Amino acid sequence: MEYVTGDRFSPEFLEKRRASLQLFIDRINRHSILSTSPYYQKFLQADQMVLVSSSDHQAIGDTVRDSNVFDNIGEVFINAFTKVKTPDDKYVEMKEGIDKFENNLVNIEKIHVKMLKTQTELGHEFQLLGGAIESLGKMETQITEPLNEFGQGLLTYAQLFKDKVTAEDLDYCTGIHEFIAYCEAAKETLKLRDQKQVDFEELTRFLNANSSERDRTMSTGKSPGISGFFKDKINDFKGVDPEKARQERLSKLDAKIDDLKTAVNQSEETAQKFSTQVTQEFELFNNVKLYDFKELFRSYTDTQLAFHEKGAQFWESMLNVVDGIQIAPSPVIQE
Amino acid sequence: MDSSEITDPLTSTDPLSNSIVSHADETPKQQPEEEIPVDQSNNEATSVAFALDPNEPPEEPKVSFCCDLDRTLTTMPKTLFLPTVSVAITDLREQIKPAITIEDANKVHDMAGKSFIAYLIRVDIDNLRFESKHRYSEFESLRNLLVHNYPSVAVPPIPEKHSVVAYAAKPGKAQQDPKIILKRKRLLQSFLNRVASHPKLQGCHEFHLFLKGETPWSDIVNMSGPVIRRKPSMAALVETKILKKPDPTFVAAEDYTVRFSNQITFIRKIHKKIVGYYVETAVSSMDLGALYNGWSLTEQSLSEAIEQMGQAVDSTLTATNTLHSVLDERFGDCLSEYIKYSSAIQSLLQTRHKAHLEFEQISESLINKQQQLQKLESTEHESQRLAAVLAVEGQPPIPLPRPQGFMAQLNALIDNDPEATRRGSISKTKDLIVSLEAQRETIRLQLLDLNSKIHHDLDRFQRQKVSDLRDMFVSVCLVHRDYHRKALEAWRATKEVVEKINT
Repeated sequence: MEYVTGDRFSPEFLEKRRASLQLFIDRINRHSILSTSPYYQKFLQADQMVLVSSSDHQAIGDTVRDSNVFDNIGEVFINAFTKVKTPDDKYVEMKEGIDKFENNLVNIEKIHVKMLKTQTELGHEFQLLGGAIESLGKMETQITEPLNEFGQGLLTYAQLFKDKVTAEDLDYCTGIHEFIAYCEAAKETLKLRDQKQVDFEELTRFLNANSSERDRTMSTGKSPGISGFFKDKINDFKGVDPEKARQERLSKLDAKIDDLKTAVNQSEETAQKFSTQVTQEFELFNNVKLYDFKELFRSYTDTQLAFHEKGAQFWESMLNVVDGIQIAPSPVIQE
Repeated sequence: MDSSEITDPLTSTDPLSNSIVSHADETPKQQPEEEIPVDQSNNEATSVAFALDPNEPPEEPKVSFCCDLDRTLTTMPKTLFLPTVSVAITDLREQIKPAITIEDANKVHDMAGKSFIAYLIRVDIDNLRFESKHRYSEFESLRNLLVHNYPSVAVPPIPEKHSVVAYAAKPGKAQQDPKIILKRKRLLQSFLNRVASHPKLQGCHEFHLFLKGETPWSDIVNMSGPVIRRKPSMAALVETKILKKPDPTFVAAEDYTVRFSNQITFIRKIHKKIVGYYVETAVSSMDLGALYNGWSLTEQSLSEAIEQMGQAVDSTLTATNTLHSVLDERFGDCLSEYIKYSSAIQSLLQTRHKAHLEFEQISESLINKQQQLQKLESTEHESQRLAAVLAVEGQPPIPLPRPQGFMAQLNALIDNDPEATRRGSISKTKDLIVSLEAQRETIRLQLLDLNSKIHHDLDRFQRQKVSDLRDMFVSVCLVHRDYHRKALEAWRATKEVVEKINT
């Protein structure tokens, strides 16, 4: 949002972005598969800003994009409307877990951002207060010095707020924000895994449909369904040999069934590999979560400790200054 | 008297000495605007304006006492009523209490069925203990009485009658809002202690009776004779004429009061904003703490750390609430008091200004009359001389040269014996001059006395103000330090738990 409404080149924005990107790179580095990806290697070595082109795909020997007739159809049509038929509780739990976690983070981020705003305002007010007390010192000639010192001191106290807000924003808020994005990425992966399972389920269903058709053809010789009935009638009319037609149909079905069997096996393998990988990824996700949040909580706590420690010290030192606000006692009344 | 000499017109008894007291740029200035972030006004007046001149004659000590309370109040040190904040006592609520306290504020129903708040006042000095109950209007009446009976003193302020804001929020219920009642309690208590410690005001017998609580206030008021019940009119402030020979010390005092009042008003505005932001922070902290606690229930390995984060947020919340409420009590209240106190001083200086004006006016009248007399006498002298000359030359006395002026001509027309008239005027004028001189002298002495008393009161006020400023700022430091310490403790505990997360 800041990109749109704020200053794209302001140092604060750049610093935030730098911190976010750093987190991103850190996460890739920790990942055994991603960190060894040739794309990543190329990215790190790039001395020019280039986009990955198709020739690069071939050069790298991209084997991911293997053909599967039903892949495209599945992903565009079937999977858009189909849910997993036999959902695995394991993966449902994973998704719900991530959702809950993400939800909490979103709410917490909101409140923290609000609190940081309030604290910035507080810092500003203390700045004003310092100036006002200094001005007061100018007109109270008997106590100008202590008031001056107190007023100046308040300016340094105001700075404490600024430091705290900057540190918190950069470390904690950015960290939480990035983790929310990570949750989204994890959910995407889970969705993809679901799609693979859907592929498998759909193909299996299709295979079974064809198998039963073949069996029926074997036994009755008639084409299935209303259109089959009309097709047979037309063939009769045409004078096609019903036995020949049946044999043709059988061989066509057999071929299809063979194809489908291959596809189903492939898809099952893919789905299983995907699921295994996802389980591993999820474990990694949880480890990362633990690691990241330990860091986040630690840095947040450190920021609070620094602020309150310096704050307590400041007010202690000011106590001595203001204790000295006094005038010399009244001159002795001479009669 | 050499008219080129620079003398104070008040000390010279010769009204004709029209000496002009020189003073640099101390002409009464326009009221500076309210919002002055940096002191940009032309007002350079400082607290020096309130300092006592070393030549100022000291105040006379009190010799007679009206009752036992009077004697006790006079002998007790000021700090009994206005104890200073001790840096050694961290919890501000544990600080020493003053001798006069308002212990309670209770709703009471009077005969007519109307309800009001009665404040229970306890006096505890030495071997004297009194308890009394008074409502707000009685405090107001007491203060008006003090203002009337002690015109040379700036009387300590009481909280305002109706807060416009509170009225707008919930009319009718304003007087019953607990926060407003508590604030009033504190400010009224402060008022009583300030009066009790004031060398002049503490001698007011009605004040003693007020504290003793044996006589109802209405009786006390009637006993003391006719008293102006209304608040002194502020309308008079607007139309005061400028003095011909203003007293520079009082001009400086007036300027300084305005300057100080503006600055304190500004500081109070900032204070209110700070408290507002602390309240906002507390509200957010409440939501945040709840979130963390809920979150910790859905996690396993992070659960303890998240819960601890929530705990620290809750602890900080409690500390923040203490912080802003004590700030309001110890800092905000006192700032409000001094803004009103400045108004009281301005009133006082205004009264003095009027008295000074009166003196100038009567001096002027005197000068006029003296000049009139001079003219009359010189005319008389002239005519006598002429008559003498003519008598020598044996001629009958001829009428005098035509008198000047319209009135004189008119008189001359209707007058049968201008000479007799003139001699009559001369003797009348002489009489008038004598009485004016006596009046002027009385007023002059009164004014000198008033000036001296006011000087002493301003000095006393300034000393107390410095002490109060110290107390205010010490309180601010103590309560903030306490807040930070509490928060520090809470976050240290959290850090320990966070470090234990097993990755």
